[in-house]
Order: sequence, then C-alpha cells, then structure tokens
Amino acid sequence: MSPIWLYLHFPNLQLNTLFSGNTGSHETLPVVVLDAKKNQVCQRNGSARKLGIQCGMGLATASSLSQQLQVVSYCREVEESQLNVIAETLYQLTSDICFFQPDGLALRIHNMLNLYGGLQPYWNMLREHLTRLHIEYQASTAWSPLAARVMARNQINTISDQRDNIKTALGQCTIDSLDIHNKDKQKLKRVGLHTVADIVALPLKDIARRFDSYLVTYLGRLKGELHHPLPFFHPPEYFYRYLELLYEIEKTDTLIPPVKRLLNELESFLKIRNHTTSELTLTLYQRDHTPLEVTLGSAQCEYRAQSWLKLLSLKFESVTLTAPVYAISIRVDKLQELNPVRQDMFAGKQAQISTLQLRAILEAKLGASAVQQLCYVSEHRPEYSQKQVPLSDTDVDAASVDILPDRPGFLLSEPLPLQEKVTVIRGPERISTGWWDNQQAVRDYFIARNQFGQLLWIFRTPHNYWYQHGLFC
Amino acid sequence: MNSLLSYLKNKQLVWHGSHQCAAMPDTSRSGYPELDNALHGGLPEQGVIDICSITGIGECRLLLPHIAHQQQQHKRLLTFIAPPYRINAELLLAQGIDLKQTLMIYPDSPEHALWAAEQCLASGSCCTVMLWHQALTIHQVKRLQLAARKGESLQILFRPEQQQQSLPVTLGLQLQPHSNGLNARISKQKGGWPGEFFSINMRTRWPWLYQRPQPDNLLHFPRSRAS
Repeated sequence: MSPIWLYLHFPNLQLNTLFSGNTGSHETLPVVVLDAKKNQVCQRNGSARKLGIQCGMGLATASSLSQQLQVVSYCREVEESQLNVIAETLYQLTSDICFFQPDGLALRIHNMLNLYGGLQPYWNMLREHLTRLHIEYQASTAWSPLAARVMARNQINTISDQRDNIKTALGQCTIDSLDIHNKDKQKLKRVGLHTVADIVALPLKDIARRFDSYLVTYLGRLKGELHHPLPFFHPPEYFYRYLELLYEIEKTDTLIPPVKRLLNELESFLKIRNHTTSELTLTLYQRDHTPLEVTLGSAQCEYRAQSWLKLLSLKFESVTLTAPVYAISIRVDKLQELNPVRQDMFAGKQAQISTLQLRAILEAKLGASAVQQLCYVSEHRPEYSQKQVPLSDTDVDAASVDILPDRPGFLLSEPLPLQEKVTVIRGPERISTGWWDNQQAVRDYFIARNQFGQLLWIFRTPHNYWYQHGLFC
Repeated sequence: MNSLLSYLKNKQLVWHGSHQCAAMPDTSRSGYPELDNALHGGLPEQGVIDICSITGIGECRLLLPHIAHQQQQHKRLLTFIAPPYRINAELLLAQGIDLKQTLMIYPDSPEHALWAAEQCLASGSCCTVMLWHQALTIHQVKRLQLAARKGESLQILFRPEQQQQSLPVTLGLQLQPHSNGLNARISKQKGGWPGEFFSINMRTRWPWLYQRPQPDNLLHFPRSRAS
C-alpha cells in the first residue's frame, strides 16, 4: 500500500487554548496573539478578522483598528503543550503521530485505513474528535509528511488517497510556501520555476547539479522518493494539563468551570487507559504570589470528573486565594487499575455511596486530620492503650488479646487533678508498668461517684495525689 | 352505616388505634428489659434518638448493646462525631464492636459537626451516627431525620440536660443518675406517649460500677476507743 500521510495544521493554536467562560462573549471581543519579538500579530479571532486586523500587522496598527482589542503575547510552550494534548486525543485513533513543532501534527494513516474501512470513515472519525477539542485546523493528505504539510499550510484541504488529486492540489502551491532557504527560493524563481508542480516535474539528479544537498533532500522527501525518518509520539504515563485563563479569577466559585474542563480531560485520559487515581494536585497560579497547591485525595480511586468536582468544591470552601488566579494546572502521577467496588445485589440495605467515598468527602471538607480511626494497642497504661490513626493507615490491628471490661468509655486527654468530693465504689486496681521506657506509671485506680451521679475513673499516685482519668459514660 | 364508615375511612377522617403499629419504626431489643417494657418493644433501628443527660452517668452504656448489635448485623460504619473526650477503644472492643468499622470525626465547629452527621447518615454506609451537640434547633433535627431516612441509619444525639426544648425526634429520653443504674423518662416517642420516670437496672450488665446494696441485717462492730 502506498503511504498516505495526513497533516494537521493549527493556525490559531494558542488563541483556541485560551479559556473564556462562555464562548459567546469571547467571540464578540477581538483577541489577537502578538509575537513580541517581531511585533507582529500572529493569531487573531473571528471578530478581529472582521475589524480588518491581518496577521503580520504591528501592534500599533492593530490597536488603532479597535479600542477593545485584547492582546495576548505569543508563548511557544503553550502551543507545544497543547499539541501534546491533541496528540494524546488522536492517539486513540492513530498509532503513528509525529510532531511538527509548534503548530502541526503529521499522522501516518495508510496502516490505519483497513481498520476504519477507508479514508472517508477514518477522516469522519478524526474530525469528530477534533471538533470536540474546539480548535481550528487545516488538514490535508499526501504521499509524504512534507507534502501534506505544504498543502495544509496553504489551506488546500484535500482529503484524498488518489495520487492525481494530490498531485494537482500540491502543484498549485507556490515556491514561497516551501520550507526552504530564501536564497534557494530566489534561485528557483530566477530559472522560471514558480509552483511546486514545476519543481516536482524535474528529476532530482538535475536539481542536485545546481542546488545544495538540503534542497535536494527536502524535495526528495516532499516527493516521497527519499526516506524521511520521524520520531513517533508516545503517550506519557502521567497526566498534566495547564490552562491559562483569559481573565483573572478572584473567587474559588468561579474557578469551578475551568477546573471542570480540565477534570473532563482527566476523565477521558483515565477512561481510555482503564485507570483511576486516588490523588490529584491542582495548582492555582496567583498573580505576583507563589502558586497555591491544592492536593485532593479520594480513598476510593476515582476517574469521574463529577466525583472529583464534588470533592473539589468542598475543598475550595477552606481555600483562600491571596491574589487573583491567572492559570491553573492539574497533575496526576499515580494511576491505578480500575477496580470497581462490587456490591451484593441481594444485600438488604444498599449504600448510596461507599465507605471510602464517604471518607473522601469528609476529608475534603474537614481536613484529613479531623477524620480518624480508632485502634487498640495491647498496653496497660490507658493513655497508650489506643491510638487514633489517620485513615491512610488502613491496617488497623484489631487483635484483642485480653480486654478488660471495666474500663471507662471516655478518657481525658491527660489526667486532671481531682477537685471534688467522691464516693469510692470499687478499687483499688494497681497499674505499675512502663519502667522500661522512662514513662513509668504506678497508679491505684478506683471507680468513684461524685455528687452529680457521674461515674469517674480516678487514680492515686504513690505520693497520694488524686487524679481523674476517665468517665464511665 | 358500614358504607359511611368506609367513606370516612377513605377520607382519612377516622383514626384507627391499630394503625399506630404500622407507623411504628422497626425496633430491636435494647438489652435492658425495663427500657424495652417502657418502649413497648425496643429501641428504633433508624431515625433520631435524642438523649438529654449530663455526661458520664451511663448514657452511652445504655445504648451500646443496641449499637453493637446493629453494627454486627449490618456491617456498616459506626461514627462518633465531636465526642467531648477521647473514646476508649477498650470499651468498644469489650462490647464486640469492630474498630475497623468505626470512624471518629473531630470537626472544628458545630456547623461542620452537623454537616458531617448529615453526610454520614445520608450516605447509607453508616448504621449509627453518634453526635454530641450543645444546641440543636428544630430544623436541624428535621434535616437529620430526613438524612437518616434516606440512608436507613440511626442518629443518636447527646444533648446537655439544661436543653429542655422538644425536638421532632423518633425517640426522646431524659436520663438521671440512680444508685442502681439510671432513672429514665420517655419524653417523646413516635407512636407512643411520654411517660413518667422509671428506673433501669444496669447492675446486671455492669456490676463493677454499682455498689451492692447494704443488707439491713448488717451490724457494724462498735469500735471501742482505747483510753
């Protein structure tokens, strides 16, 4: 099968990445992306185009055309990371993806067509995925990645596997649209070659006689006669998304919609891999302040955006922003296999949510230290006979050796001097232990009743001091 | 006559004494025969139980057998929210409560405590939620009732004695200390009437906590002073 490559060119990649609350108002305001080095407008949205703003214009000219012009400075990193996101999405459909930084992707598709039953069904599927990303694109197919690139960048959107169609479409392109040195372009024009069709008609041998090896290699690859080695994309093992906001946000409530967008991306990321995660880190980049990191845990591994959003909105109640937020990012490092909790269908009482989900909800709102589990330690000193462990330590050892039944229900966090008149009901019970760890306790414990009828657990030290240590609730 | 009766019945204008039982919540034995007698059955398995007493007279021990039974039966969580002191694990173990199925929640404010209680009740993964709270209002208790109904769970409220306000609960108990156990009064019961104080014998279950009554035929040996 002859090779077919599909090239996707994203002319307004950074512009499409910007988050705006509702697309309606976003469209009405003219937005341009300005390349600060060249002082040229490099991307513009629909309303900026209507106002007559052209790519390549200076900032002064552009801003004189509109009062409300929103200017964003060009950032190559944003485009590169967004390209990664697109590649990850398309990886579901195609195995071989190559990057053409910063704004293009080449897909080797001829080996995928059998699976999809032809070019047209494949293209429909691809288009569906691209539409969901809300990113403008130009696409074209050709026999080599470079040829497809030239066509896509020239807005010749030809999706075809017929060699003749591709040849005529490619032939229309001018010499200027090729990725070659300006010097070579001039030379080619001087000998009367103006379109790609003119050059492609010449044999490579003849070109090699007059031009340098770079141009020869380029044309050879363009024509598909020379091999073009390309590194293919491998999807990363972790999830990271960065989202820059079109406007700064000062309230955590208004942060929910952009975060939701990222969580939806996380959901599809996890869903494809059949994975879940127990922890995610949300970073809020604050203007002139250190970024705020919010770590969110869920004891029951989750992948659904809905569940994470619920936990997050609870967490946001206790988060205070020191400065407006201009960008957010979500990072997930640990992935687990999806392991659904099974419930007995015939069990009498069905829980709405599982125990682990309940813990996650409680921890998100009250903080991890507020939710604890009780754990017994075989020890005679009452203050050491139990531990309250955070829930992350799941292996609570409940092996009860010998439990004494006559112990109070409530223990004071530390013994208090006894300050009231009591009647002793039972005692003494001597506890003398701990000589080995410098926390020696020699105590005679009594059960006593005070004037209100409360049952107290009190003890006497060898020096005849009396303390209250518990309450029989 | 008969048709008139059925007409009135359909209009729900006739009150049936026998219907009362149908409306009663499911109950189970409390472990104290006196209390079961007074309640005409036992403690409710779901809803809200309101305990009005001072701390440390046996208010928890009165309910522990019931709670332990519930937990063993349903294998669901037992949650303690905002207890005034540390809960002793030994007592729970001695009563046969599974510590893996307990949750301690220490919220930083009473509002958060109520929120946590509502979440736990409605989740359906808790069988019993014990909440210590100083001041509860009627609408808060109503919310807890709804949450308990949703999650088929039991809420136990511990309130200080001074709070005499009547709350819309499934069962209200007022407790006072007694040399033999507790003096209790049912202040409110769904499908029942409030009653008088009666005493609950806790000596059989917790013999070490109560003094044996002095037999009347005991004579103190007179101590003679050596002079």
